[in-house]
Amino acid sequence: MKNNSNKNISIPSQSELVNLLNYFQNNQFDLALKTATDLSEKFPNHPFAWKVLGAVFNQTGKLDKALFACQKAAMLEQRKAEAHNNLGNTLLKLNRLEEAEESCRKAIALEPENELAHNNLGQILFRLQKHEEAASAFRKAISIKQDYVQAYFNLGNTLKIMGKLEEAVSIFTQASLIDPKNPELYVLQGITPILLDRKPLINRDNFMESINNIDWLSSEIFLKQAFEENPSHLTKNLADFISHWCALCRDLINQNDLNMLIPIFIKLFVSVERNKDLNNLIRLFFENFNIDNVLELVEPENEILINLSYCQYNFLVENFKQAEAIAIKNIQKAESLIKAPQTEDLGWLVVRRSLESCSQKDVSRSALTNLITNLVN
Amino acid sequence: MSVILGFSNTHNGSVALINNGEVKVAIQAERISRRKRKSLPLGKEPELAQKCVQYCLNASGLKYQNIDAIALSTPWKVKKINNEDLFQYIGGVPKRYSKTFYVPHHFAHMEYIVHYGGLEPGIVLVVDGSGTLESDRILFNVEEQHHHKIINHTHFCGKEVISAYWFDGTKSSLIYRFSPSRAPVDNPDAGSLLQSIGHYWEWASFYCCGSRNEAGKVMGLAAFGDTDSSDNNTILSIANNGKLKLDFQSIKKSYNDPNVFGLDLSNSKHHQNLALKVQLETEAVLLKLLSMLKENYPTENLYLSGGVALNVVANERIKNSNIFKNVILNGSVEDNGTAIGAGLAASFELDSKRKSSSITDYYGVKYKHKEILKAVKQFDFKYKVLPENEAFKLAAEMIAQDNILGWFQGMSEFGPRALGNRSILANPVSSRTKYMLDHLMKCRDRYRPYAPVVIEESASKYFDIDSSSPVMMRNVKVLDKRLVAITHFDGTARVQTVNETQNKALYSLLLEVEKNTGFPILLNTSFNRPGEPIVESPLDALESFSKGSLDYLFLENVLVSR
Repeated sequence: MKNNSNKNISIPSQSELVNLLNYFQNNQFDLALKTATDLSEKFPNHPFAWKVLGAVFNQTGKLDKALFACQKAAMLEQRKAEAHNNLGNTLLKLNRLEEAEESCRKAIALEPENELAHNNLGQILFRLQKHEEAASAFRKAISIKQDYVQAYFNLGNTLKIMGKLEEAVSIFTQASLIDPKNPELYVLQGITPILLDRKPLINRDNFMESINNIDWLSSEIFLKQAFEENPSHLTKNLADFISHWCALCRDLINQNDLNMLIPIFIKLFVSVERNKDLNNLIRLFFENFNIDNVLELVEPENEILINLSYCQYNFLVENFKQAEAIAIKNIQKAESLIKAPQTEDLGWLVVRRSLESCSQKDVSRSALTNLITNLVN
Repeated sequence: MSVILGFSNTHNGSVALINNGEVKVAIQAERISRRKRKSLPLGKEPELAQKCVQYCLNASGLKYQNIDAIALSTPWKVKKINNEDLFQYIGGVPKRYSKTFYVPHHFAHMEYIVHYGGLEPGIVLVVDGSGTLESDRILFNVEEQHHHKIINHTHFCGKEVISAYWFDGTKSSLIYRFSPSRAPVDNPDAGSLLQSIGHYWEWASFYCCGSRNEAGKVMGLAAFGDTDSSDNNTILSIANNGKLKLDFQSIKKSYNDPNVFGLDLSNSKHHQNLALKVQLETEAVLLKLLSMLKENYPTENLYLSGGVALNVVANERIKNSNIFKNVILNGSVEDNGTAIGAGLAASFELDSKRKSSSITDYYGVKYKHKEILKAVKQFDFKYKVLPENEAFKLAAEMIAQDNILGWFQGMSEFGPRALGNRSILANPVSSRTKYMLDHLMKCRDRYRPYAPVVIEESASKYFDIDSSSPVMMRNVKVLDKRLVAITHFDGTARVQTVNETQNKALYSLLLEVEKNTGFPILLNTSFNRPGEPIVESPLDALESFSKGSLDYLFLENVLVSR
């Protein structure tokens, strides 16, 4: 209830302040807003209404108004760390990071053991990409308040970004033990570095060794092991896998070592489609080696794959006539492969990829029609 | 009376416009962005969201100022948004805005499907990968009512993966929930997956096809699999108390040859057998769960929704089990449909009235003749404007001559199925058709089947089907051996039936096709190139025709040729 006798007094009554606080704490933001607005008009030099206004506007996402209110509160309470910290927090939400940092540092200077200000500072520094400094700020907040789970959470996320996965897992575990019924933290219980982030194949023991030893089978096992740990990383892991093998093939091209190169080149070519790294490799391969020389070195059953890659090379360098001529021959040769159960998949692979190398649609259609006619008859 | 925009803020984002309790328009973000399964996260990529909203407003002749409410549904962490930011996101300001509705994900799935069941009471089963976070429940202003007999397996940091509701014809109440913990400590060996049927399929999709969203391929592959009677290694099961178990230890023990390079599995018995195992275990779990629910809530009607309801083989098994007399399904049971479901939920909150619709998925735009001609003229193709009947006759003749056509007619489809308005059509009795589609037009793995569309009154002559299937949700035996291009390895087909009311153009074409081939049936597959979403506009269709290898393109009655 309003007390009219308070009108000329420069501070709100205790009951007005308690009511305002209750409205805010009970999420009755409309009432809190109305009461705080009234009080800030009646008692413009009293900080509490401004403080609540700042908090309500922050809660309801009206950040420009929140900023105005927090600035007022900070001006009225220049020696209060809380006011500067609130201002810093609002500036952080507005992405005015340098100003936010200044406000938080002011708060810390006034009250060096204010864990909220250290946590806020950490968040600002995190956004400024100053991860080391952010981690220090979060650690400081934790050292002040050892059960400050939000600071643990923030520290864990910072360490994750920094690639310190083991340490991040340990921090998350500590947080989830402090507040085991907090869903945000419970969900991190038992998390492992592998789940926290993808471990690139290159960081796996012996993966690079398998590449350098030109041991395709072992490298494929690593890829499959990574799949078992987290299938959703397959696309990135596969891209890594191809990229490393292509790099090795480029080295072998530079060393002119066709004998070592050809089996891997064929493996890659059969396994991977529509990949930029592989396309670049195909170009480099045939820019360095003559097709006839290559064909002399391969087993007869692999000749069609070399021809297929040469077809693709011609398509990539926009030599479309040549690509089509090879494609048609390949499709004709694929017929016998398709008819034998053990080479059926290979046959269709040759057909599909040969068709992709035909730029004229009537050419590809006619080649496929001929093949089908032979197959269905 | 209310105009509501529904948003599916999911990995398959979409927007729907509900006017006075009826679905007027709906569009998937992928059709606009031209990126398959395009997500629509709230507040992000406003340009795409605005295009989707404007698509809905333009198609329904409404304006921003007419919007009364917006309904949001997401399976991700719920983010509250203030009106100012929301209006900025959608690109305009409503005049008499009522409020923003936050709708739980499974609830939106449920609201979607009950719209299509004639308001008949029944059980609604929602099964997908995962939906709402339990920790977000307090943020919703559209709330679920719990039935007093509810079977509830909800972990406090869980995520809903199966929900069942009792729908009394007006209101719904939750009767079953499985919402398992997301914490690794409760899911050793699970990686990032949950105890979820949808995630079982997601894993199988990764394992067999090398990517996440290929459950449909796995289902097709299952037809080639064999059951092993000595295999007592159950991966997916459900206990008598309704608790689901997905045994990741068993997975790791037995499956260590993932198809990491995504190769064609037409000859891979290992993967085929696994696919069949996933299929059979899914069916067994669903049947057991449904029997339990039916015991507690006797009814003849079952509504199915959620991504797993796209599994037509499981749906057929449920139908044939005779646990329920009627199984109600529609084409957008996966996440795109939650835009409609959220909008309908909000509509019910505002107006306390519920309407019903016949089963359909034609919720997109019908393009005008001048728009089509304008688009055609941007390309260097030959074209001819035909009288309408002439177009059907000519198209039928072309099909009989084994040509493969792009067929663009009327309102676009909303869900994942092309239902004859944005379709590739071909001769189902030609032995060449599947080869041409597999290797030239669609570039598909050889084990994948194609679906037929048949005129409704003749359907039972060619297929073992006793009811209509307007959105291609039935999987039945093919009775005529000559239908080689649409008969799957196990002798079945995913049939779409069509009558004159549902789609006059397609129906007319089928009648003409029958005159030429003797079959009122067409092979019908989605009009898109590999990796692309279904075409939406005439321009998309022409782009696809230009880059692809289709023989002819019909844009309404405009014949386009090379």
